[in-house]
Amino acid sequence: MPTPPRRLIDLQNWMTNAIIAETTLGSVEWITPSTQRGSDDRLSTYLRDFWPRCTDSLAEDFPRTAEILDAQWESTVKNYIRQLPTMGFSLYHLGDNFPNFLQSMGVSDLLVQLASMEKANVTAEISSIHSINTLSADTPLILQPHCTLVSIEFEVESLPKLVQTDPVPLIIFQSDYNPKIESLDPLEALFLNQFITPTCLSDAYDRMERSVSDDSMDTVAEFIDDWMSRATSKFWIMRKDPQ
Amino acid sequence: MGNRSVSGFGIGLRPIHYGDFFNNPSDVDFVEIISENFMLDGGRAHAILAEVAEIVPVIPHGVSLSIGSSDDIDWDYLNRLKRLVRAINPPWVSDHLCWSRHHDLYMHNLLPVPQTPDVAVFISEKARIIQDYLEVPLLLENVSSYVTYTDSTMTEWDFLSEIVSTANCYILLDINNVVVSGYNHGFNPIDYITALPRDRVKQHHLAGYRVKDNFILDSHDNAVSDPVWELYRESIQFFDSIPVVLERDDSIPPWNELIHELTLAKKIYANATTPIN
Ligand SMILES: [Fe+2]
Repeated sequence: MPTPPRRLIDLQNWMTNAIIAETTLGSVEWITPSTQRGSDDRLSTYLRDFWPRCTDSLAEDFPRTAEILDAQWESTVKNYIRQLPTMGFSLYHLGDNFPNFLQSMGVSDLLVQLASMEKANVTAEISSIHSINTLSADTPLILQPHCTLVSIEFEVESLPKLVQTDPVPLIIFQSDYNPKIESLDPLEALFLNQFITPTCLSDAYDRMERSVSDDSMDTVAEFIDDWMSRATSKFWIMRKDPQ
Repeated sequence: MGNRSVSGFGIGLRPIHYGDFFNNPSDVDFVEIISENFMLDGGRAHAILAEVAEIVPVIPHGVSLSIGSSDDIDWDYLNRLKRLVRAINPPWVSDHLCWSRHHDLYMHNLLPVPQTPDVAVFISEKARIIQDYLEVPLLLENVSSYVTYTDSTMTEWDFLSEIVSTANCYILLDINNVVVSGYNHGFNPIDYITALPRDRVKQHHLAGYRVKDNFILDSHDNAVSDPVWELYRESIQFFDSIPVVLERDDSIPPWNELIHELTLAKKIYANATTPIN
């Protein structure tokens, strides 16, 4: 990698800070005035652009979260980008850390769940789908990248007002290139949660056995057999290292 | 140049027009896509790409290479771009002569760089590395800009020419951007295009702008303006039969309207290149 000129680094440090902090301080040193516009006026064209692009893009990805935060949306986004800048080259990744950020801000658990759901929609839209072929009991399996498991404690239909309910486990995944939500029964949620980290079927079975009552053990075995027979058409789990 | 030749008149293909494109593929000679939308891991864009590339040549046009950034080259980004290049076998790839990332923070904007000899050397070295890695010609596009820097000691056209000549890469000449920057910085657009090395300019862009109180905004949300058509007419005299792409990114009109505008470009080209007896 060639060495960047010192003045280029200084200029980009200054201009990045100016854009993020929305200040024209220092513009006279770096920017030549034109016959029609002063240095600060010229710089302001870029300043005006950055934040609306971030708030609009995130509002597209988190429409209901934005609706609920309403008047606080803009300041929340600004704090988020200033504290947890995302490294992604695509605006699709701008919200990668947003649910975690909301959690760290101490907003309600329900709002964090809603933001996680909306983040999962974006993930479903832009992730790849892998096919799985034959599997043995000791093949390490993992949840596919387009799938997210979320547990929510509000009625989706009750949005935008979040009314507390009992927890409902959901999976959000890609179907026909669009995000799709399905609710999961408790056993299926327990099963899928095993594959957030790479796990083979036999280990998943052992762990599930330990978390259900003795008389449900047969049910677990039956469930896994039945689920796996449909796994290749569901595209929810895959081999850890797809071949 | 690259593996697949391209000529004639194309558009920047946006998702809203996928259906129209498949119904009327002969309306365009080729298409340009926003590279980054096809560098994600999956999704609809991914799935559609192979089908499009079966029908017409596809040119990846990026917005996040950030070649003018003082940061290191982003190898993950470049890897993904190379995968895209391998998938569609384009004649070249293009991006902008600008910076849009600093210390890994993406500004999601095309910011101009100071035009100095040492920055030209720095960017041309990067361009050479990138072009070698991608194994396909790299075209750098002139951006619209709203500021000039106190550090700059070169004209934009000398700066751009110097970079592409040193790096042995090429120019994507955006006619709209020359008009916009010409107005904003007070230079004559003709001076810009006549100073460029003829053999390095490989593609034209046409787009629309918006006139503000005391500057012009490169908005891509509008029909091509008259001064852009006029400069295009002039530019044809210098750069002959290089391919043209009509870009529209906001307030995107129906397919037929866009194709009608492309037909205007064809007419201007035909008139400008028909010898007068
Ligand atoms: Fe352009």
